[in-house]
Amino acid sequence: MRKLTVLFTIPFLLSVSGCSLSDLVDTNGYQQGDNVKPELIESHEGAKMVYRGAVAKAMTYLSSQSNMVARFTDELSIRPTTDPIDQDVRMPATSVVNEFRVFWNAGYDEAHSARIQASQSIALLKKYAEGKENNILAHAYAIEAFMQIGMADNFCSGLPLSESQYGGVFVPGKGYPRDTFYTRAIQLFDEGIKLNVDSVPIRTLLLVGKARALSALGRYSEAADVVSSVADTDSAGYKYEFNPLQSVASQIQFWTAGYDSAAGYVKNQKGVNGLKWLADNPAEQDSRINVRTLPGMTGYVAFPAPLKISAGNGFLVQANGAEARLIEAEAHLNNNEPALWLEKINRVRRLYKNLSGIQLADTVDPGTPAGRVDLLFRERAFVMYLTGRRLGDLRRMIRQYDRHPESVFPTGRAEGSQILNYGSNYVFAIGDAEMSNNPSYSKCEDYLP
Amino acid sequence: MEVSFRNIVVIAGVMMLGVSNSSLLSAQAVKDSSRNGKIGPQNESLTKGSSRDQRLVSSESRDGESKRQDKPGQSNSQDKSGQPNSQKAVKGSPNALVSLQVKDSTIGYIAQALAKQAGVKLVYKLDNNELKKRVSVNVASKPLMEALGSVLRGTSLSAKIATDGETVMLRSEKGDNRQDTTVKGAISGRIIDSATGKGIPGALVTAVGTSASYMTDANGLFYLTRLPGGKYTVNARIIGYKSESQTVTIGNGEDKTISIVLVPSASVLSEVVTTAVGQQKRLEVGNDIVKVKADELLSKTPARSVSEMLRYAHIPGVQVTPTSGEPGAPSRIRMRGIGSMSQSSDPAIIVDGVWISSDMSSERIQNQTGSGLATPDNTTGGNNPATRQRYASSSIDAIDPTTIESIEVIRGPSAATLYGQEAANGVIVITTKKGKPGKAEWGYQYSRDWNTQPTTRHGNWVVYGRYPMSNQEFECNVDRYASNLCVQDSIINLNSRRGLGDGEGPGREQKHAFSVRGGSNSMTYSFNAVKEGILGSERALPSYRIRMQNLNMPLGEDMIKPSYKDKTSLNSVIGFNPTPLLQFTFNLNGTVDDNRQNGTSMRYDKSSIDTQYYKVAHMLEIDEMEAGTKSWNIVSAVSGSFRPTPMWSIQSQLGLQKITRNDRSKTDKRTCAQSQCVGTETQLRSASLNEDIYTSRLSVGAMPSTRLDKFISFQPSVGVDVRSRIIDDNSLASNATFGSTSINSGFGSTSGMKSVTAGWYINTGVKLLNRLYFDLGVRQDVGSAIKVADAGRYPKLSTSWVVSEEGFFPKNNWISTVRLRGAMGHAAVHPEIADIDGGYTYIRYPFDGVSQPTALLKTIGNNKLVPERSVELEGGIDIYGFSDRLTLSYTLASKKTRNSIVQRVLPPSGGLPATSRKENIGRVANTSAEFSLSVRPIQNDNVSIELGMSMSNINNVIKKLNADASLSSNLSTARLEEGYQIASVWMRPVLGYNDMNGDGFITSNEILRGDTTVYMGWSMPELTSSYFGTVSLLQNSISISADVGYKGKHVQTLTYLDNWGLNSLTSTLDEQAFSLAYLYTGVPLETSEIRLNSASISYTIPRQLLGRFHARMVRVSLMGSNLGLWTDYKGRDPLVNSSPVGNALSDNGYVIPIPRKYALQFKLDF
Repeated sequence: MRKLTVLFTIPFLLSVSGCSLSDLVDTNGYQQGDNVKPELIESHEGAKMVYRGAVAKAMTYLSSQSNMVARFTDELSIRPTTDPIDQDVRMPATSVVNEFRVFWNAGYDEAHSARIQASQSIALLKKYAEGKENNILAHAYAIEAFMQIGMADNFCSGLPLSESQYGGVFVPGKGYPRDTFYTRAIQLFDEGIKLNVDSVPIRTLLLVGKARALSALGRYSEAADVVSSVADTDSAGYKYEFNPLQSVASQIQFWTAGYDSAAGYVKNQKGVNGLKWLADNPAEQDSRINVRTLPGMTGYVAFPAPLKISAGNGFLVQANGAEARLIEAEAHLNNNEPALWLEKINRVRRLYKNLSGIQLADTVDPGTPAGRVDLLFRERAFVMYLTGRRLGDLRRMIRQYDRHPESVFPTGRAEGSQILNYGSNYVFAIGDAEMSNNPSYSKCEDYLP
Repeated sequence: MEVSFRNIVVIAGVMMLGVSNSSLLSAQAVKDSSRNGKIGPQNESLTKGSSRDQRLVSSESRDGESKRQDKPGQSNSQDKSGQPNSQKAVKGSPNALVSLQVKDSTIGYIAQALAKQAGVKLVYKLDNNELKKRVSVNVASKPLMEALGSVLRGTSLSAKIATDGETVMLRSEKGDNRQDTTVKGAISGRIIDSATGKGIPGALVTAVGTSASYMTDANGLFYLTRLPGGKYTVNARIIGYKSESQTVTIGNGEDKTISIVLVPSASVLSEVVTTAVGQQKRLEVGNDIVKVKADELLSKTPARSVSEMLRYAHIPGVQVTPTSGEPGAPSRIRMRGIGSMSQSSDPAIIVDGVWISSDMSSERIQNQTGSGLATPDNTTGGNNPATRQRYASSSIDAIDPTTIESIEVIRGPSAATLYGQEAANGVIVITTKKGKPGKAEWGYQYSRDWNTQPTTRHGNWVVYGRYPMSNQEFECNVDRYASNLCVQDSIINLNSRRGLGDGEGPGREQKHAFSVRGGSNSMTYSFNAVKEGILGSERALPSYRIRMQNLNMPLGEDMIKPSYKDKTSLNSVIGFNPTPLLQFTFNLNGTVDDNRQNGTSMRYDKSSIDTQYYKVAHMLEIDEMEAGTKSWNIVSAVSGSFRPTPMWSIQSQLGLQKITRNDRSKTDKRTCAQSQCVGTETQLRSASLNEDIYTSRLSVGAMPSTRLDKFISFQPSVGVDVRSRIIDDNSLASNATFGSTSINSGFGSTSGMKSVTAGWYINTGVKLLNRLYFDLGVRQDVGSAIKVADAGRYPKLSTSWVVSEEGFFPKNNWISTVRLRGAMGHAAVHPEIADIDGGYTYIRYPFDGVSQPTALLKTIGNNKLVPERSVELEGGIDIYGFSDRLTLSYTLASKKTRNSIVQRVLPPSGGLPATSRKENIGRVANTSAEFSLSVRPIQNDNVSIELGMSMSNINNVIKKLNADASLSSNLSTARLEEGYQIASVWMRPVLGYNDMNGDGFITSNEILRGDTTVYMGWSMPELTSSYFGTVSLLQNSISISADVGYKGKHVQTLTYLDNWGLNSLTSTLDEQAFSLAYLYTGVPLETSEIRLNSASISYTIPRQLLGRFHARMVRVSLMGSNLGLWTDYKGRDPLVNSSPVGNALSDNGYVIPIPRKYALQFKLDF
């Protein structure tokens, strides 16, 4: 019996001391994979790291959206391929779920990704750098707000907003009407504006962004008031500069997609009623498009390619004085102040000389309300060419100015195809990944503009 | 029957409760009496509890051997005069003088005390009530027999000297003659090991044809009683020895003593296997452990790696799937199917007690690294597949087969309970060759292989046209042409069908292996050196050669034959035995493995081939002049064993595996396109990775056994093991020129990983009557991810019952041994730390032109995640017959896993780049039936034939999946669906095609598919079997072997077959539809195969001629492998896998199948 006692006592003692094994397995904060150590995140410097991540993700979104919007609308045409690149052509209007929509999911995912990262950076900056980093905190507010605007501009009404909390809490979100997104954006911009930042570009970003959301809600006069303090000068604007050596959005997507084969080119009047980007007389060409011609192989036609994004290390302007003036012009237009409206339009055209040295002639009042709307949105299109704004504007023309979709979106036989027509989708599709995996969400409320 | 199973159980139960049995305590009483010269009343209670015991017992002390050792084969029962030795009044004889004074004690004790004094064995039946009669005795210096006579006076008992002259029997004449008037005799004696000369305990001795039987005691003694006069055949048998019989004739009432000498035999059940608690006999272990003897296997098959050895070993329930036929390609190893829905299903690998990296089913770019780390770089910040697209061999294949003594495969429940959570999918225990005392033994082996591809590549076909609006060339296949997306009026027609046919050629392999072993009693050594070179079957395409020639850059030999592997391996094992109590073993195994696959454009993936031709048109080719993976794999270990007392031992093992992997590619700027190459003439890309695995293991135990009784013993052990794994990834930037510095010097570290698991276990083996074994244990594992509170404890229980040793088992000549076994064990598989904690990814990002540390949210983790927990039941039977010429084994196993960890997809509105996270949302059931049979119908010096087969039927079914969202794996064709197997294949079926627009072409939207995905089958075969045989002639000097394998129906997804129909405008609609169906989604093909795995003939120089060569063994062999394939598969070979990640099979048509191999092997030992 004594032997048995001895034999089993030692194992028992070892077993009850099992708790000490925890000390053996403690990795002492050793980094796991490419993860940042948690204690680094939960600090002033960590909050700034997360903020930088939000900026990086916002740039990824902008890089992607500028390319996608251009293709979906009339800004660019793409070399016909079997790739589902020209969604406007290939996606049947009746199809809610089809295999091509995955192509557009990237923008959706990127917008949410930047939104969540900006939200987390705001929380960290407020906790660990309160009052010390107002410029970047305001910028984080602006990023989260712009993601809300981007989703409302480009997608259907009723997008879901899920919440992810570091540490394991995930709350699947329900769908919200489009206007809710604009409203939330305004609230976020206001939070940033309250910080009274000393960075002029960030203040411009906040003010123009808020005005953009107000305009989308039809609150034109309020929008004009918000941007009244924004200067004309480009230096007052906020632009995201891309660098091929940067990590996340390595290059502007349009450039990477087609730089070596002229895959994307300026398509004059895409479909039946696309905008006439190119003048019949090259000398009269609107230099804001900055077209260059890429020769094809010997004996074949040349491509009018946009010079605006001629390399991956270009920049995308998110907000500047020109847009502020156009927002004011739209307010004048809706206040039935055509003279003031025209003055703002021509101010923007003259402003372009300051920016590029190219003098654009003043334009004249078309004389009709419809003509003024056309002219306003044409000016917006040229000013904001390849910045991912065109889809939102076309939808606003339908929603706020009673235009028929087929009068603003490309229609008719698709270029390069003898059998395919441009489709009638006015919004980017939401991927199956959302509808299949979000138990709180089933579908868009409204696919109309 | 003298001993019943019921009584065994009763005794076991008594022992477990700590209640003494008579035998144990009577021995103590005798000991006391001999010391004190008297037996006091306090010992009177000692007989309690023994009244129903039917056993015969011996009074000899159980602690030691008998004082006189019988010599093997020699009976010493009588002296030369034929008189019993009892006539001599010396100690050790029945007539030795004894003295004893005791009052009111039992006859049994008094008799024991007297016999003890005399130094003779006393044998009697415990159930004789007259032994309990209380008497008083007072004898002084009287002969034993006389003293006993006085003690027994008045009883029916009498003392009698057995014929060995040194055993005294107490017999009840009255009781024995109760049934008839015949005076009964007895046969007693001893069963002796021929090798040691010692008695063999636990042997079953029977008088054939009677009910008399006896299991020998600790000294090998037996006693058969109540035998009428006559002639008897006394048979003795025990597992591990050849059964022997002896004829004995006794007269009425005569007692005879005999000795039977047993010769040890190579019984499978007596074989020693390695378990976590040390080495045990197979029959003591309730799990079915398969042991592969390396030299035996390598003498029949041209296996050149451990993976191949496992494939050729045909272990039931073990499936080995090579990922490619290229040199050094890793294999996927699965035991009893797929164990987990998301966690690794790789088995654990232990080499000489040291854990080594077991990641075999990771992506090739991660292989041998054990991590899914992104390769950091300072230009793109994310993955840079260019630096990791090569693959390294698995760690398991860094060990050269010629250095291996044996491989043991543990599939069952004991694996995880004893080896830890990493072993939940089974364990592969590799034991390398050790030295042994004696003069040096030298060995040399040379092998030369010739490889060919037995199957023909499917052709490729690419047609270029141009865009309608430009002259820019564009791949203009049928689909694009029919959609008016391209025209062919200026065709650049690159028909590569013929060219690709030249993309393969014969390969070869050469290997030299040296070894020397030897040592003394205090030190042993074993050294091995292996040098191996393999040339793969890839070849540069003729068009590529021409193009490079035209660029004035003719291809070198390493580009024309771009796939090759060089391996150098050194292995040493040094053992020190400074004292019998202390042993140390030092192991050092180093391997340098250099895998090359030069030339991007020659890699057989579809996109690269397209790219190649596209770039041929552009004249903008990026050619990697040198690309490969070089890895250094070092396993070092020191293990020690300290045995301070015969009962206690302490064993410890400390090991380190260090892997350094370097991936590199070199590009000559002259072949670069535009800005793809930056700055220098020659660009070198490099990624190096260092992985350290530290393993320590401490085991404390009572070994070999604590014999508490001659029928029962315990073998308890406890142990702690700690395993630490550190990975440091120091990769250079993708586009950096050679010599660039790593970005790791910045804020924090960009990559690296450390994880630790630690566990303790308690294990107790219980051995009853040498035929019934129990093994009980419990284990707990904690890890960096799973703390004690969540770790749980995992019990195991196994039992092994050699039922044929029972008296009730019918004895016959054709079935010698039958064993029933059963095992139950719990196991856990831990999630990773990141699965629980989530985290941010570190990158550097330029702000205002300055690179700054940046954190990107990666995953939020899941802090509710707990380990998967499984319980496995295994039961089986082993039958050995016809003098071990028939071996049959059948095993059934059932494993149920709950809290299965599954990758659940999160909706993108959560904003997480990691689109899924792991959750405990499933239950899985695995079943396995395994059968093996080996027979030797002919066995003599001139001809010996051995035939065998193994068969297994495995399945795993997802019993429950609580998913209200889709699962990440379901985004591919291999899905997780409740009620179906893990990695079942689902797809929208191809129903046909319809040229809807009547243009004479079939486009992708004219392929008719079902609306929903449907179940196509399982990617693993449920039924596999192997059939093998060996014919040995002329005293084994000539040996001929072959084996054939069958794999039942399983689904292999073929994504590419022949794109003739895809590209040629002259193809038929059938051909177009056929190609399109394969190209876009792949086609699941239910397939089965029969393969002639190997055949060999070898000649070993007869022993009598070896002296001329001063050699111990000389053998020459011709071998072949993969010699024939019969299958209904439409691809090249169903046994390839272009996507080794996960569990499903896929074949993109470009993965090179395993080659057909012919080998010449020469082996010399001297």
